[in-house]
Amino acid sequence: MKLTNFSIEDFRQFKDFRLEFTDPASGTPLEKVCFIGPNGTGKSTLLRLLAREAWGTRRDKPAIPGAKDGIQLMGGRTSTSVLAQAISSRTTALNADEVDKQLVVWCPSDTEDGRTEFSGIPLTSLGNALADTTYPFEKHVVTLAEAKQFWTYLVGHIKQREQRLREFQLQPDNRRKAIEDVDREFDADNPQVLGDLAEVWNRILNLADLEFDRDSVEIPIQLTDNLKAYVRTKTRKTRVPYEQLSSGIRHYIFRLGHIRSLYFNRPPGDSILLVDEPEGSLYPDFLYDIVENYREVAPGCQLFMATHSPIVASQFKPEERFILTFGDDGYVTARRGVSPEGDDPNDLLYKDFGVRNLMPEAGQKKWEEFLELRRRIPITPAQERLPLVEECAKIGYDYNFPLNGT
Amino acid sequence: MRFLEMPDAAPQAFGGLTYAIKGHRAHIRRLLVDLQRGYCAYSERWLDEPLDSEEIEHFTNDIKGSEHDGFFNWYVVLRKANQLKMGKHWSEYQPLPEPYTVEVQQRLDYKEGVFCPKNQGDQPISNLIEFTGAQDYPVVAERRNHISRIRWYRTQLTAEQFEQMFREDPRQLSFPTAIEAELGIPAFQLIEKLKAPAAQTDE
Repeated sequence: MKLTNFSIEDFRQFKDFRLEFTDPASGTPLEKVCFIGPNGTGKSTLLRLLAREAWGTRRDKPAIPGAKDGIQLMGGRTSTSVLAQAISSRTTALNADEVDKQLVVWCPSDTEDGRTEFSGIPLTSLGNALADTTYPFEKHVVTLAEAKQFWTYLVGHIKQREQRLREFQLQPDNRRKAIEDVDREFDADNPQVLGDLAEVWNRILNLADLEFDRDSVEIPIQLTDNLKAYVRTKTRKTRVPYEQLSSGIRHYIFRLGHIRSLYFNRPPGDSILLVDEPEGSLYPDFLYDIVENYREVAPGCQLFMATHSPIVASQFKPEERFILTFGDDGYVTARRGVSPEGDDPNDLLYKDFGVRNLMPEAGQKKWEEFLELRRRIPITPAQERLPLVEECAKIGYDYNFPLNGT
Repeated sequence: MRFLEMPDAAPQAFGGLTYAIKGHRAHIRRLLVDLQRGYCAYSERWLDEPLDSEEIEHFTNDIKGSEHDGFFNWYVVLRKANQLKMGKHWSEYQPLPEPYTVEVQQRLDYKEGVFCPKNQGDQPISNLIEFTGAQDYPVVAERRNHISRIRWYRTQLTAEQFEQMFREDPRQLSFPTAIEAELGIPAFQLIEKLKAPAAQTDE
């Protein structure tokens, strides 16, 4: 199932609002979609509404803050407007049953999730993993508060793999082979759970001289045992407790790891992944591959992201970028982007984000000073020009101002 | 990319200095800044940012601090030039030439704003240009604007004033290869003539 359009009849800042999630040229559903727009235009609300739609008939749909499920509260008065009636969507799914069976993953922003206290390895056990009957449950909320669920899935995957390996080793054909050969054959079709996680995490951790520490992993054996797996510094090999990781990196690796645990061993297929503000507390250098990283952990997903980062938004094609703005009537309207995929984020800020001026005020003043010097120098007597040119050259060099166009 | 070349005197200058000994690093760095005349080996921009006195770029990062490491593998580069190189592994840019040799300079060219090999099929030189980021977008954008400004300053000043500008502010001689090729100004000669003081650092 892929979402192909979404309409809101009348809900808060949205009125007669409609988005088409299809390629204008081919008409095929978009593989990824990005929402950008000023604060208050409802990017997060939109993602939550989409998540609710993709939640199908399930009752535990993601809540809309300030709105009771089914009943919208307006200015303290109870309105009879029912969310389900206000919103409609079209998907490529054939029926409600298919929607219910669809894998949907909803990742709220870390500012919503930030209150969660984090105290090291999530507390779970082999017993919990064996008793967990929720997997493969189709609708997931990925937050740090749900880290225990992620860790439980990891333990479950590890133990399921061990079980499959034992069964594989006992197959009559395999009994006659050397154990190393059988294991190698098994590994080829069954990726190592923690090896897979290490690959996902190290792409991020390596940027901060960190790595997943595979050497010190302790796999649970007794029912009360937990999985012990840590992060360490890459250069000095010293352990870094999860609670001491920067909050941005911690959120990022737990989010990606959790999502990966939901897709592990699942054949690539349709699913919906909704991520609000993936850039949360991350240094810009971490953002350049972020869309690819999310898509890699969730193969085959239709990805919806909301972001304030031009670096993230530039990883989408212009037709995949939806820019929300307030119209003259006070309601939100949407238009598609114009900057090409991979464009300079500064150009994107200007073209798609509609930022009025890329230069902060101090830089703007220097630009004006540079222009004024450019104007004055040619009309100044030659013998008096040098100090002016030197000043012009200093500003030009500091700010890398272009000469053409001045 | 002229500052990649190590002069014949380099082995003597660096004699006995080892990166693995932390106490040697500040000295190594001072020598490198002097050899590079205060300019970044990769971008050719003036080294005007406050750098850690021990910060030394290793062309082949894998041999950093090992017994195979040495002056031929050391450069001083701007942090942002180094950042462009980060994420590039030398093994993905093979074959690479020995960057410090005179021969590399003879095989390098700069035409119409672009570093390129003299011989179009010279893959090692193409790899070197790509590996050091000399043609990466941010460097090219900065170089292009700088050249256009210098071109205009020249039209506004007498020859004496123009040289005086470079003497007062050695940053204006950044991108000397481009200045020579695009403006016909003997930038490298000027650098030598003006004997630009070593780059400002926090040493």
